[in-house]
Amino acid sequence: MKALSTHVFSRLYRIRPEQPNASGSISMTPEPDAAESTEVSPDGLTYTIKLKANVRWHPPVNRPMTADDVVFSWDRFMGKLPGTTPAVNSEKLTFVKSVSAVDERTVRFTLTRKYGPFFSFLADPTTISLMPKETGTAFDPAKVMVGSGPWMFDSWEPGVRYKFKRFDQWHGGPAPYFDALEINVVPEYAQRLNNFLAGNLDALGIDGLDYDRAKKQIAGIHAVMSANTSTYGVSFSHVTDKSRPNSPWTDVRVRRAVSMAINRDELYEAGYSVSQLKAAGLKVPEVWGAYVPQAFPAAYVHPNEGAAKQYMKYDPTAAKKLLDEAGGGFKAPFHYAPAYGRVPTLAAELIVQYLKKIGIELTAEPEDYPSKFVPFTYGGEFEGLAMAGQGGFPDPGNFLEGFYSKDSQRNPSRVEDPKVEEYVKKYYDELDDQKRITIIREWQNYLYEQMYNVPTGMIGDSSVVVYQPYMRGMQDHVAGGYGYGGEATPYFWRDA
Amino acid sequence: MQKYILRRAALLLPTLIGITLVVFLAVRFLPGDVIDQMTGERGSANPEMRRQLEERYSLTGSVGRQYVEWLSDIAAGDLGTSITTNRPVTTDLRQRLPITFQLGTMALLISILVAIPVGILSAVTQDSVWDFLARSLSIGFLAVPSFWMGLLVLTYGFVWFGWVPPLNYRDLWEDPAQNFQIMIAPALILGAGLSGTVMRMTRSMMLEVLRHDFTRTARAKGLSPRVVIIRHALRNAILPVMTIVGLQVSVVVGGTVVLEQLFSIPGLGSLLLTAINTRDYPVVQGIVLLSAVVVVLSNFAVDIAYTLVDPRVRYA
Repeated sequence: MKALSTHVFSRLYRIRPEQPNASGSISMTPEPDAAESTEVSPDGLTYTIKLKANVRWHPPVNRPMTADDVVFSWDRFMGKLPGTTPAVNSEKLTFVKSVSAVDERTVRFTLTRKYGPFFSFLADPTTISLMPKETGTAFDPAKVMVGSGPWMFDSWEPGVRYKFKRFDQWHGGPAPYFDALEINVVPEYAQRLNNFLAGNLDALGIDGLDYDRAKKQIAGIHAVMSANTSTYGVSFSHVTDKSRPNSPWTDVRVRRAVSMAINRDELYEAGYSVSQLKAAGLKVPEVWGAYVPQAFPAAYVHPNEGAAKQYMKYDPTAAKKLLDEAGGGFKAPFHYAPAYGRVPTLAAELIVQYLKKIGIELTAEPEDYPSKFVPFTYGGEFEGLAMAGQGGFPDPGNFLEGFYSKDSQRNPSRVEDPKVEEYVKKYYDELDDQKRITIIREWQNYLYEQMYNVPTGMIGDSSVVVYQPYMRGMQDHVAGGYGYGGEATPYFWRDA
Repeated sequence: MQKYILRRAALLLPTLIGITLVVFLAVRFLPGDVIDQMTGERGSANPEMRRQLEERYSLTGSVGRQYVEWLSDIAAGDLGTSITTNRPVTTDLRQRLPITFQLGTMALLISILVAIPVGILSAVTQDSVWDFLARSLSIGFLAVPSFWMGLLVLTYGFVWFGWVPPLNYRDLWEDPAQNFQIMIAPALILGAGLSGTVMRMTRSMMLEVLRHDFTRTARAKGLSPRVVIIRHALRNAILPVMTIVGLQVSVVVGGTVVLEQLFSIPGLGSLLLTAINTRDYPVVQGIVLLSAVVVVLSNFAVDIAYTLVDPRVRYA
C-alpha cells in the first residue's frame, strides 16, 4: 500500500523529484506539496503551515482541502478516532504534542522537543498521508482511495494490478501528462523482462546482465540509475555488551578485520554487473553504499574518504594479521534474509567466502523475513553475525538513529554508546540544515572508526530502470525512498 | 448404491473437521505473526499498539476460542476479512477460484488426453520403440519440476519465437482468445507433469489386464482388438487410474501456486503465496480450507465414479 500512497494522496511536504547528479544521486530535498508556506517559531517547537488554496479532494468528495482535514488525518493516523487503530509508524511521532486548525487554511504542529528534519518527516510517505474528513462516512477507505494527489484511484485487483486516472484538478498541474497509470504486479523477472522487450511494459528495473541485450533489441531505450536510498551492512550481536567477553566482535579489531576482508569492488561487480553496464555504454557511478545512502549526497561520507578509510580497503592479509592480534579466527552463525532480493543474498553468500579466507568460519543462516528476521534478528536478538539492510527513509539521520540509538527497535548490533546518543540529540536538536550536515558527517566518521556495523557497499537489488524509447520526462524526475516513484510519475509523458 | 454413497459421504465429515483443525493450528503455530510483520520492519514494538491490532484482527483469546469462532463464522459463510487488504476473503475466493479451477481442469484434461492413449499404446506395443519412447517421456515429465519448465518456456518462448504470455488476464467468457494465450502454457506444463504418473499407471494396469483370462477369451471370441482393448481391458484397468487422477487434484492445487506466480495468473495460488508471505491468516486459512475441500470432494466424486465403472464396488 505504501507503494501506492504517493500516487493518490498528498502530504504537506514531499520529496522533490529531480535529475540525478553524476553519481546517480538526488538531493532528497523536501518541498511543499499541499503546504504553501510554513512559519517556524524561534524555539523550533511550533510549525504553522498554510495550505495551498487550490488543493482539492478527488471525487466523490470534490471540495478544497481544509485545515480540519489535516487534523482529521493526523487523528486517524494516531488512532484517536473511533474505530481506528494507531498506524504502525505512529509511535515514532511522540515528539508531536498536538496538531490543530488555526483557520480554514492554516494548521499548527506543536512539538514536545526540537526536531531538525521536520520537513523531511512531513515528506515521509510512511507517516501521514492526507485524507478528507469524509473518510469512513462518504466512502469506505477499505475499498477506494480518495486523496488529493496527482492520480485518482480507479481499480485494484490484489496482487495483479492497480489502475489510476489522471486528476485534472491536481494542485501540481498541468501534470500528470498521462491520462491513466497502470501498475502491474509481475512477480517473475523473466516475465517482466520479456514483456518489456515485447513492448508490453513501459518501464522495467533491469538486471545489469540484461541491459546490453535490451539495448540491442530495442533501439533508443532510456536507462535511468535509480536513486539509491538503502544500505546493507554486517552486524554483530550485542556489539557493545562488555558482559560478553567471549564474543570476539566486541573487539573493534575484529570488526575492522571483517571490513578489510570484504572485497567491495567484487561485490559491486557481482551484484550489479558494473563492467557489463559500462561496456554497454551506461555511465555507472563509482560509489558504494555506506552508513548513509548516496541518495543524500551532502550528508554521505564515501567509505574511501572516511576517518577510517584504511579499514574500508580490501586487504585480506592485513585483515588476517589484525584478526590474529585480536585472538584469531572463530566460528559463528551468519543470519541474512533472502527476501532482501537477489543481490543482497549473493553478497551474503560471498561474505561467507571472504571471511573464511581470514579464518572466520560463518555458517549461513538464511531466515524467513517476516517470521524470523524482522522480529528477532533485526532487533538484535541473534548470536553471531547478520546482514541487515535499511532504506527508504526521507532523512539521513533516520538511518543512523535507527541502527545505532539504544532506544531503537531496529538496532541489530544492539549498540549502546553514549557518544552515539549525543550525536542523536545534537542532530535532531539542530534546526540549521547545514549544521546538521556537519554533525551527520562527523557522526559517520565516528561510526567508520567503531564499525558497529560493517558497510558492505551493497545498495539493494535493481540499480537501473529502463524505459521504452517513446517515454519522456524520466531523466529529469527521479524520486527516491518509500514514495516508489509516486512523486515522479506525474511528470512522465510519451512521444505521439 | 445409495447406501454406498451415504457411507462415503458420512466419512467426509470427520475428514473435513480434521482439515479445519490442521489448517487453523498450522497457521497459528507458525513462528512470527501478522503483527510482527506489520510492525517489525519499521521497528515498532509498542505493546499497546500490538494489543489493539490483535483485537482488531481477532487474534486475542485462547486458540480454542478463536477456533470455535472461526468455525461458526465458516458455517455462516464468512471466512473473515483479509488483514492486508481489508476485503472479505470470500470476495477474493469468488474472484480467483474460477481462474484456478480453469487452469486445473485444463491441466487435468491435458494429462488424461495424453496419458491414457499413450499408456495404452505403450502397453499394447510393449518393449517396442513406441513403448520406450512413451516410458522415457513419462519419466521425463515426472523428473522435470514445473517451475523450471515454466522458466524455460518463458525465456525460450520469447528468445526463439518472440512469444510472451499476455500480462493482462482476461476472463474465459470475456476474451477467450487472450484467456487461451495466458492459460495454455501453464496448463500444458502442469498437465505434462501430471500425465507422467497417469501414463505409467495406465500402462502397468493395461499390461496386467491384458494377461488375464477374460481378455484372452474376448480375443478368442473373435472380437476386434479395439473392442478388446477399450471395452474389456481398459474398463478393468481404469479403476486404479481413476484413483490416481483423483489424487492428482492435490498435485494440481500445489502446482498452480508456482505456475500462477510465474505466469502472473491471478488465481488462488498466487493469492495464497502473497497471503503466506504477509501472514494474512484469514486468507491462508480460506484458501487452504477451500483447496482441501476440493481435494476431498474430488476424491469423493472418484469413489462415486467407481460404481459407474465397476458394478462390484456398489455391493462391497
